[in-house]
Amino acid sequence: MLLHATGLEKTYATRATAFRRASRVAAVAGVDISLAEGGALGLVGESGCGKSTLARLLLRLIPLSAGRILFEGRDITALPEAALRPLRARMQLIHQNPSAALDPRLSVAEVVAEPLRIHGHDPRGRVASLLAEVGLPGDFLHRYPHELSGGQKQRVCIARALALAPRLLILDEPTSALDVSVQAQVLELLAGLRAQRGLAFLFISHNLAVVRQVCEQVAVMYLGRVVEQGPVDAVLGNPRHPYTQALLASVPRLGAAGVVVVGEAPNPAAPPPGCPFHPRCATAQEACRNGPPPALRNGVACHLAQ
Amino acid sequence: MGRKFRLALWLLSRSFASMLGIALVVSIVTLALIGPWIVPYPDHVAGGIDLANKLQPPSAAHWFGTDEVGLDILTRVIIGARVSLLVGVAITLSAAAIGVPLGILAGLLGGPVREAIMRLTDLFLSVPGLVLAIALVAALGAGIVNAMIALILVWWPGYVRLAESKALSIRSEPYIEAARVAGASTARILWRHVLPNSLSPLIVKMSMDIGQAILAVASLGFLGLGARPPTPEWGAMISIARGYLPEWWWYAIFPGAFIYAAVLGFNLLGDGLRDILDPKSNRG
Repeated sequence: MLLHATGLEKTYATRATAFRRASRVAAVAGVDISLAEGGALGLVGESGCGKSTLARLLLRLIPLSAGRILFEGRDITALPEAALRPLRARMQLIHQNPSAALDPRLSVAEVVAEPLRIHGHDPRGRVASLLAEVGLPGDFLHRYPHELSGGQKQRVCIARALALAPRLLILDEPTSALDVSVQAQVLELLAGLRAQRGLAFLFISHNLAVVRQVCEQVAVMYLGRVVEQGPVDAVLGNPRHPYTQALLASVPRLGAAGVVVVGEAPNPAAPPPGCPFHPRCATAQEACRNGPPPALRNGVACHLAQ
Repeated sequence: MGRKFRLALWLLSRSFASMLGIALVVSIVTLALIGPWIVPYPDHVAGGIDLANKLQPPSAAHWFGTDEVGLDILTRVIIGARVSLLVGVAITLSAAAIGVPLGILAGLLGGPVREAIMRLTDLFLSVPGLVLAIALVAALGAGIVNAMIALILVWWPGYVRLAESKALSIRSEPYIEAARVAGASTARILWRHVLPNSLSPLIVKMSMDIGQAILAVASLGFLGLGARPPTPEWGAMISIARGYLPEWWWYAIFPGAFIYAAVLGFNLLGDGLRDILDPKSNRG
């Protein structure tokens, strides 16, 4: 296993103010993630379900509340930053918004060279070949981020992430900020790079079609928990959890009136008792209102699907 | 670098106000630099008395006229540029040197460090700067050095505020996270990303503050708390000249015009720098 994380939790404590009582928000509430070398796991769910928090936990960018992370078989849960640094080369992140992920004062060449410099490599010669690998011509070297289109910026970000020859790429909605026409090109580039370099992807998205195209495995998150997990074709082809069913039904399709998820995601600071999805679940029964849902078993965490 | 520099010049040259600012600042800096060699009456700098020529109107011999003891006002105003410029730059640089590190530290570290720094800053900001400076000079004793110390003490909090707010907003930028993912140390992130990206508003503020500091020093001089006569300082000159208005108008007008030109020049320069330093205006 390239990445193996168990029992990941991230709880934020909000301080009491004059208008609000102190509360604890569980952004990620007990998630297990496993990713094989070269594998691709999609992570889907609504905004605010903890997908991005999970990505940052796995990269040790924010402190964990509980859980354990093994990367390349090594426990990195409590590794100090200095010891983590050499490992960072092999786990990289692609941001959702490439415009914000590039320092506006650095040229493309400086952006791509920075990770190489940090890790003590000579960036000469390698920057241009990295740009070529992501499909950017050499005359982009001396351009600045504001001179590039969204797709070009995302390519620069990908080149920066590839500079240190990572094994794992965590992609946090890498195409959702791009034009639809550009999305396909970037996805194609990513798929090609994955095949060539044998990269493993943790692909965060709320676009089920994209996940189906890119990934072999998928995990569906709801309110900080994985509610269904398994091979893409099985989960998206024959969803067992009512939430996954609702997600699939909410994908707009011509001529089909799908079951739409009713209401909004509950406030994570005050999750409903029982199964957190029951207020929006069409098939909720007494058990769902009272007891918490069973742990993920056979790929699904639902009272009714066992 | 050459391309960037030419672009900056071109951007500046498009704006009349920026060009005027640069022209004023360059003239005053030039006057300050070569002043001692070009003034018509070098021995009038240190003071002295030539009562036969007192309060002469502007003429070929004395372009700006003479003061109440017969000293050439042109000479003293030009030499006054040295004092004002030096003091203005020194105050601004010192205040920035104190305020910027504190501000960036507060913004980056957060928590109790930030609370301590920012509350202390608020304490200073809650008192009007010049009033506090007057009180400080009164306590320290009048004089140009004490006026500078007082103005530095009231000037640094503005830099803390600005640097802190910039550091705070930059800290949460995804490109900082990207640098962390690449393995950058905190020092590297500070030096390579936070500081360069917070620099341009700071430079703009510094340029404008030099003008404000010149004005503040002149104000203290006017109140008799800054440079003492016979030091040729603009504020101190106006302070005496006030008593000779309106008949002997040239005595107050010319130091006043120089203060005006210096403050205006640095303010316009600041505006021009703001346009140049925005990376998005750097189209090429």
